[in-house]
Amino acid sequence: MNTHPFDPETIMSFYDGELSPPQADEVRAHISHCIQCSDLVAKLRDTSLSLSKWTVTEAPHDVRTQQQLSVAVQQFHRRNSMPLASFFRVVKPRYILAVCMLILAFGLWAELSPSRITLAQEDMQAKLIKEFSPSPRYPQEAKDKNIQGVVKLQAIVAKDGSVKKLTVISGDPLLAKSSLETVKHWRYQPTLVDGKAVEVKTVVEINFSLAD
Amino acid sequence: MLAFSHGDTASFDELFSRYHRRIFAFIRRRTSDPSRAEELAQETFLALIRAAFRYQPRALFRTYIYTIAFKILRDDRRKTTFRSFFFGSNEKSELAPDAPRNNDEILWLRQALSRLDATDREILLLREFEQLSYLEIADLLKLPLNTVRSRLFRARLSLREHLEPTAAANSVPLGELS
Repeated sequence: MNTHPFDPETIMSFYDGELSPPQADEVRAHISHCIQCSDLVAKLRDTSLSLSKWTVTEAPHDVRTQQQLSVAVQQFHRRNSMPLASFFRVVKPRYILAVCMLILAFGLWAELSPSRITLAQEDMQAKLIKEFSPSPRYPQEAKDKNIQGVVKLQAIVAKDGSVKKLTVISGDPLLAKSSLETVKHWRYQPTLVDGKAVEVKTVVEINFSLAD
Repeated sequence: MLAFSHGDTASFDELFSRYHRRIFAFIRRRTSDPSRAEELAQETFLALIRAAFRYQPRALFRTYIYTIAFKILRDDRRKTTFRSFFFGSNEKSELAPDAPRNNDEILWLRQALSRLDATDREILLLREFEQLSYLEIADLLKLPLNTVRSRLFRARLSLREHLEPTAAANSVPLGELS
């Protein structure tokens, strides 16, 4: 029949001084008249006594150890005196490094992901919407000066088919200026990769010929 | 520690003199090689210096330093296991003798301790030798407080049985207490 108000672990907690003073008083009062519980405390004490025989000799006094620690303390002191020390106390350098790595990884991912593809002029020619894509005007000044030839442009076509960016690769400046003014208003049909619209990098060649 | 973390380098000497012996004993009881124990104790203090820059007094300093020592000891055991797996090693026991080899009582005690479950033994050692509270042990070993209490009780009973196998038959049936 159970006649003990406290479980053995509570008795042990009392022995270890883990109980609050009121609880400890209650357990102490119980132990004073309970043979089994006082016997348990005695056993716990015996076990502690047995363990206490396992002593450890003094730590060796190593001069080299002392020197290394003192160097480390000096390094710490120097670091603590550095400007921005309080900033780095809060913001760990490895967090800054991690953020930089994340930004770098994101940049690489953006660069390598197939959000932009390169297509030849012939392929893009087929996607050109004729009504929004007139031919460039032949500048009168160029005609007067008998200037003719090919203007080569590099174009970035946005996902919606509009021309996002144009760069002159080669060609006479007069002809190139006219080409840029016209081509920047061109519209293409959106290019899809796996059902998703992507940007396209392409080359646009415009031939200006006086014979035409 | 707070004073040291704010640049008072002299306070490290006080920290060292107060805790070096305890940390060495903590590691020595768990390492068979005394010189290795001293190295690990030194590593603990070096780690303490490195971490001082960002030290926040969230818990008792005692728990803090034992946590560092515990991690260093755990890492060392991992390395030892790795080395022994690939290259072979003589170090087998986690418990180290520190008494004369002919001291039968200590050998008997070590044998009894080695028969305990590893976590139970760690809890028991932290309580008996490092005098950590249940809460500190729970914090250090990342265990629930009640688990620490019940496992400590179990460890003490098991150790007693291993130390005095013949006495067990005459002992009070503790299960009937509650």
